Amino acid sequence: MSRSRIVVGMEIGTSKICTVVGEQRDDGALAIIGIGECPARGVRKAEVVDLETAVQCVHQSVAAAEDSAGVEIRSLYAGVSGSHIRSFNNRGIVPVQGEGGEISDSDVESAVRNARAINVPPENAVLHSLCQHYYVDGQDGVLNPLGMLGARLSADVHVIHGGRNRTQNLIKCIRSVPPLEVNEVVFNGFAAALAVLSDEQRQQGALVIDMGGGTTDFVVYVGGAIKHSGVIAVGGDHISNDVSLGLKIPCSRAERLKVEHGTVALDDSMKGKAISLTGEISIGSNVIFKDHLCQVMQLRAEETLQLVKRELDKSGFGELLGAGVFLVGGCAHVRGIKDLAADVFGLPVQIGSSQTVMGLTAALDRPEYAAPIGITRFGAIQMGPPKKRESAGNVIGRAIYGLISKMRMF
Amino acid sequence: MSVREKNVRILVLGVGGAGCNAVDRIAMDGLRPADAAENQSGGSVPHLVAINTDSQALSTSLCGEKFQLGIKTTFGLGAGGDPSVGRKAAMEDRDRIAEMVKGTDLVFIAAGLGGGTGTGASPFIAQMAKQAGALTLAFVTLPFEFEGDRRRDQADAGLDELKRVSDAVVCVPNDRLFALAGDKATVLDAFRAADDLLADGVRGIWRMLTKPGLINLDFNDLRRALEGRHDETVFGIGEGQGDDKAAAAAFAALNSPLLDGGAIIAEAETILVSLVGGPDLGLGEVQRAVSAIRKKATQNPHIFMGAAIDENFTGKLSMLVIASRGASAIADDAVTSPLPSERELAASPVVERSPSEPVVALPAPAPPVAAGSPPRPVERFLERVAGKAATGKRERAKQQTLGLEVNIKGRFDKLEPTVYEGEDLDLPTFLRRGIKIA
Repeated sequence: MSRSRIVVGMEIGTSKICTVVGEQRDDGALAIIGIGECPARGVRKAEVVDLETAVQCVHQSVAAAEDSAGVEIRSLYAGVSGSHIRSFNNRGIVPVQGEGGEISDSDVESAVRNARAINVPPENAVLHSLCQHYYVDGQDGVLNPLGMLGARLSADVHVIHGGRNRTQNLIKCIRSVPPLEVNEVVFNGFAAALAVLSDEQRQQGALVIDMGGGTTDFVVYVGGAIKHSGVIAVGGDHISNDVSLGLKIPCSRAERLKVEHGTVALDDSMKGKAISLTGEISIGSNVIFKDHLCQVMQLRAEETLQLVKRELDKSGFGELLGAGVFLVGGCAHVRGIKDLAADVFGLPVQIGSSQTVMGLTAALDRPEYAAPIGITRFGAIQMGPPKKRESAGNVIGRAIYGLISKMRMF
Repeated sequence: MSVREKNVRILVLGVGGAGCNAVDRIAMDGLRPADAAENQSGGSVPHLVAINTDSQALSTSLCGEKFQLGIKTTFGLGAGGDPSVGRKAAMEDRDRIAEMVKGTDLVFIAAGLGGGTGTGASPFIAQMAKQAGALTLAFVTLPFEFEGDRRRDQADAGLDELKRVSDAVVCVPNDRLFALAGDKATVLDAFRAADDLLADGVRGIWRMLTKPGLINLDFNDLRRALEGRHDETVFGIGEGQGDDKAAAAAFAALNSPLLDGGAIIAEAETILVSLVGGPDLGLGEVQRAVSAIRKKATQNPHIFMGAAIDENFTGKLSMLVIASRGASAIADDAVTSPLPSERELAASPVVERSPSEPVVALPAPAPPVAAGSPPRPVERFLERVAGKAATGKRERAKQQTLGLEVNIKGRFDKLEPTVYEGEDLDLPTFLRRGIKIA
């Protein structure tokens, strides 16, 4: 363990709180060595609504991860989502101040700072400001302007921001379990894309949809840069809730029914096919029809995907997604959703798996772990490649690397 | 019996403070575009009458004809927010009211419910009008929430009364306006918006009846659409301009405060659509506008439509949509309501009362308010207007017999709603789309 460093990511999701332990090797590669999971309580639509209960779940999840990986967890990176997350694109322009017209670190930084300086409402805080590309004296598509000569530097930046207090509540929830500290917070959708997309796919253009229990997060990559992102606070819980209300059965039963019998691919063969609800004490009929169940599910799932499509159309990048659509999150398990999404988007759709890391393959293939694995990968990128002799706990060193790294944080 | 063919006597009565304000507004703006033309033909200019118990308020009214109600009962001092005083005042002047409504064909009654005069007197006046053989339409506002429970209870009882005695009640819950106007609106603005809406509704129907039509919609149609409905009716008005005026007008009408994005339309059994356009109005535009409304409907409603031409509307299109839920709803109420008065109603739709008989005590005779009591009409109405409309009848009926609050959002009930472009995504998709499961 002496030459490796541990990095931990946690997603407080609506249905589960998941802690992923990664180990960064000497060559910089990240391997997942342990996962801890706990069904979430006190979380709705990806936001903490009952702090005390959620804290217990965080504790259980971390304990399970420690057992699984055989390490002690002191600090972690946390994923954030919820309806408060917003994003916009902006351009920051600065006259180059560096000596002899040479673009310096501080020039780049102030260009990015200018780009994110506006539009963020006072109650929100910037989570990420991600550089798309630079222009030097109007020259398009500069990827790294450091050291180049020019008089004017512009930076196109995608800014993701979210409610300050809501983000703080999340951090507070984790810090209520000593000795845990939160290094940084990451937008879940962005994290999921980090886990799933290869560099090539990012270049080709891709849409990553993380359909979780309470929210549907999405991120659009075109030409290697993030162009659009957002959250629609509708997820698998809504499907179950619709089923519960539509078939007049309890929520927990609806959830099970969805998992066991549900599909969003409708066909005639299911017409009139009865599913009996055994072991349920209820008044009246305890038989429901499969076509009813699936119709309710299909309507909700299709609507949610349509909303993402509408967001995609608004961004104007819908035509540029060469790599297609990547579905992750718990809802990616819903039968038939891949074909449904292909219909909605008119693009090839695949269930995303976390290709960008190594380790527990059983976990990597599961779409619901994409976000927490991505959070861990984000943490590894922030920490930078391991330096010889650097101790695992050298937080300051990591922070400096974090600054230099391309993903600049608030 | 079209207004255009024969003189239809139309009476517009503003009862109480809010009602008088609404009538004032009509008097001030005129009933454009109808009045000028009809004046020449010596035809039926509507008779505007402001009716109030408060002589001071009455004296400031702009309305040509004023009716001081119950001078012996209130000494011209107003009803003091007590509906029983308002009703007594109206009863005192029964002969004058009978005289006023005699021979009229259509009576609009505009009133704000919750206070004394509007709540107490307008049901009585509506009853008189009905007995005189007029089609009686009531346009009423329900009080703002901040006005308190007492006024709300009074409004509730008044609304019940009105529904019983008039052909249609168009309800404007003031809170709805408030929500639209936002926090910044002054109290004055809010009340003015309510008055405006009342005036708009009256004016819209007036216009429909009096303008020469491309597609005629006359008094008989209106009567058929609304007579005997006894239930709340809502309306929306929208105007559009430019190339796409049909779509714009339909959109604006559907999004006007009461129709709530068309959710009400989905439930309606009778819809009346009235268009007014300039001489350049094309049939294609009429078709587009009406089909925009039709698309929202799920109950296969009876749609009455009319299109009229007015020079003043060149390049513009104004659209009035009146939606009414079927009379069956009132039967539901009668069966499940613990109020004896409503059962009585089921037996005889128009209750004939002897004048001396003391009429329903106000505020509402409180039934044992236990978990078993159905929501009050105002609540039901608000609920419906608040976009919880497309539940379907069966479910609502069941809810009332069980007497339980239907938690229509399930586990998301108490959470911050997920609203996307005005749609509450927490409501099940199939409900919002009006798709029937099972």
